[in-house]
Amino acid sequence: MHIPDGYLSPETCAVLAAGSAPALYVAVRRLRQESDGAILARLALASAFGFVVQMLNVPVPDGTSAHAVGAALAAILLGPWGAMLAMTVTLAIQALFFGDGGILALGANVFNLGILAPAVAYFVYQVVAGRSPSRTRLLMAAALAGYLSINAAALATAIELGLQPLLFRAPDGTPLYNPYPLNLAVPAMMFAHLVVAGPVEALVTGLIVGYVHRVQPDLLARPAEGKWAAGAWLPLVVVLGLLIVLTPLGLLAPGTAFGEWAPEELEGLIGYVPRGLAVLSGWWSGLLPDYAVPILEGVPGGEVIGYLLSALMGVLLAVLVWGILRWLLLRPRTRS
Amino acid sequence: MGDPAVASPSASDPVLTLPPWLGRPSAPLGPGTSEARRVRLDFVARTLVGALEVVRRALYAEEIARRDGLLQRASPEVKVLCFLALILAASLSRGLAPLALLYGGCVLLAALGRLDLRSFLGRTGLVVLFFTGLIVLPGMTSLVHPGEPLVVLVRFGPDARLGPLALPSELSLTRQGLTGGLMVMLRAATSVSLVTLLTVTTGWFELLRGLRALGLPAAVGMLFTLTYRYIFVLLTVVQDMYAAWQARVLGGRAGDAGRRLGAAAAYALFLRSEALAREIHQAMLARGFQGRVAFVQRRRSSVWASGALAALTLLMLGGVYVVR
Amino acid sequence: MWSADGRPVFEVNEVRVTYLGRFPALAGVSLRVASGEQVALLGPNGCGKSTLLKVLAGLLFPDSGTVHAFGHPLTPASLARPAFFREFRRRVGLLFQNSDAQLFNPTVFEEIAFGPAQLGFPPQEVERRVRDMLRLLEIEGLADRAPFQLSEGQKRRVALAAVLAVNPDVLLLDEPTTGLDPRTNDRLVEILWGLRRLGKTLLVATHDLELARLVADRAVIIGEDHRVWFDGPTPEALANRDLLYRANLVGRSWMAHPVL
Repeated sequence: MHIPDGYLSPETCAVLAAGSAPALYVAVRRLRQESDGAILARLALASAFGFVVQMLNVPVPDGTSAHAVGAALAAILLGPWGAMLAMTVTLAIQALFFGDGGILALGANVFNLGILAPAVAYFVYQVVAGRSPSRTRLLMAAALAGYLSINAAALATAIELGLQPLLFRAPDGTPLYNPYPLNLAVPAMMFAHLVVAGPVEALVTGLIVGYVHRVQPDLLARPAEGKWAAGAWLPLVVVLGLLIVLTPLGLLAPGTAFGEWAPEELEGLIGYVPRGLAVLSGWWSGLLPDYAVPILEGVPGGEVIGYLLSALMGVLLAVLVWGILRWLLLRPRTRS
Repeated sequence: MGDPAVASPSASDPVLTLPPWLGRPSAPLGPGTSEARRVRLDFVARTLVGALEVVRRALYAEEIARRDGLLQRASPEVKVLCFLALILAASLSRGLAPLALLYGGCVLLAALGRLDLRSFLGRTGLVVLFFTGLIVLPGMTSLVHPGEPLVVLVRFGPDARLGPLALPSELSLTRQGLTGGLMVMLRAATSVSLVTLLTVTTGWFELLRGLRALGLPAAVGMLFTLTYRYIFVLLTVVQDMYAAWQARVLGGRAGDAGRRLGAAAAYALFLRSEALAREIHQAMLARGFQGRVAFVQRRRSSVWASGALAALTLLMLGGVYVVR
Repeated sequence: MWSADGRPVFEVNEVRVTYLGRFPALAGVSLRVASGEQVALLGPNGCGKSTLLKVLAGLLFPDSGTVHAFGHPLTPASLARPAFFREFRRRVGLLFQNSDAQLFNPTVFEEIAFGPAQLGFPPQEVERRVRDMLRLLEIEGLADRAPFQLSEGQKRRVALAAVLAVNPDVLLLDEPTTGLDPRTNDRLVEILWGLRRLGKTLLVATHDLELARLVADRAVIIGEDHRVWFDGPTPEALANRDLLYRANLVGRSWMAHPVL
């Protein structure tokens, strides 16, 4: 899933790097506050372990290969911030020393695998595990966290790649970066990850968390309660917020200053992305035609604002749904 | 335990009896059994081969960093900035000419770093071009993007259909597709070449020092140092485990067993890792580690070499600008 | 406050350590070490020698019992004070059994420089000490090499150099001769003799009886029940074949043909 250099425009990489920066800043600040070298040693070992685990290539029937990533494991054992740091370090070493992933693309890879994946994993784990879960529920939470985190990262990767031919073309139509558009990139990536890499990740995560739970349960992340509840939300909020801002910024980037793309291409673009994001799909057609067309038509950049608003609305809805789910799962019960 | 007073082994000592099946000799080796059954746990083998490759490449890196070339003598900070600028230039280039120029510049730099050009070009050039080419190849055809056809690959005819799908009248390699594909390939190769050059002529720790001088937080630098170091310890553990396992397996089932072994291996690796982490932390404390990191400056770099590299970089960037 | 005013360097009272709440490591050990003594901690694997050394080094804290070093209590609280931490760490050096755990710097030079640098020595002093240690351990050619790529013997030398670089008053060594080639072994013994002449306090945890005989005048035998079985002059311990056998320090073939 590591994107090499050449497939993403520098604008995309810059935007994703900028998106990763706030989360990393917080993570590094928290690391600095630890005067105890134990955390440092543990993070380093987690990064190294992640690196070695990622070397395990699973041959996929169609000839490619997928490998476990370990973001979920990192999130469960180190917490969201520690996981972000550990994954970022692993990715940086892979890029610098083993050419696995590009240098400029490091911004994108860090965003997908180092910020998004651990955040999703941590959140899913907290929501599904709840307070004082049984062993079965814990393992399921871990496996699910693994599965969903890797697929979230795959989806983000596919979207980033798929947007390239739409946004970055030479005047004569030559695709400057990745040539495969969304309708090819997304299914291709998602198939491999939903069917192969996802289950592998779920298995590895589940097995290891299972072992840790048996021997040293205090190593596992505590259920989110009190001030930690905010901590569980924060990565997700940050990430979602960045996702909202991401694509429109890509639209506004100098790369499109060619100004050569036709309005219908743009409509195609806006039509694509929300369709790919299931949550937004139904609402887009319902709300926006009434919203954007009369007010924003004719306003320069109106499409962008319209998109921002729709995305914001979609995300608010997603958060609302999650909130309801969480309340349903976490409210006090007679038996856990 | 036996009576310590009677310590020397004698006939009256109870003899340890081994299980009888250990005494059963093997049947003589017939012609059919001489052909070894290949243990096809492919992905584990590939991982271990990969692991050895990692170790070998890192050792290789140290060796090149010790050679006396222009790149080795330049300071790591200058190297990082120059190479980053070049990678960025490649990323921003929108034509084949500037990209070709940049790649040529890479090869020149490799020569200046006293690298073995043949293996360098093979590893970072051919390999990357080949695999990237393979990935973007379908993207070069009219199947993915319509464009000016250069080479017609298949002519289906005006009303061709494949079941419910309407086929295009012809499938061709488009000019735009080819150009685009080549650009991706060249960018990938340039980037990999430059990154390899950077790390191979600098060595991991000097590189880290350079990054720190450029603003990487000390805690993160320490994190990188420790991680890099632990990777090799973990790899040794993996290799030992694989060797021990291999000695005990007499037949193999591919695929599924391999995957389960992989999961079990990750599992066992984790156990050893946790114990090691604790020991290392204690060792650091014992030597007075108090949370802040003190890197002791050692390597002196040549200002002349750094300047020459910077000048060369500017020259290349200028050339790219002119040719774009 | 730190001078040898007749107080013992280490004073351990009825210390109990249990791992993970279930596995006993030390079951009530008491010990007193005076300044300048050379002590061998003898016992088979798993008896708790390493644990005891780590307790003395302030890296592990007992579940019950007290530990005092240089007259000061060794507790998480006392070591949390930076001044005491620095002073204690400079005075007590621990050579780990696992060399890999102990080497975590980019080059051998920096590995040896780590201790002095962490404890605030000026750069020229750091440089001088590193050079001296490289010469002493005969590893000058390895100065720019990465420590974790060296052979076991070389790693051990680097580790020892790193520990000695801060000039500790007390040297704790955990199985220093395990897996060593004879020449490195000899060098180690010579260095320990040299340290003895300089008045250093040495505690060597080992099951190598020959090493004990060569460097330690006092032997403390810890049995498999994690208690002290003997505390007295080394020759007396080594002459007691019965005790050695019961403590699992020698086997039957040694008993038949004792080598010491």
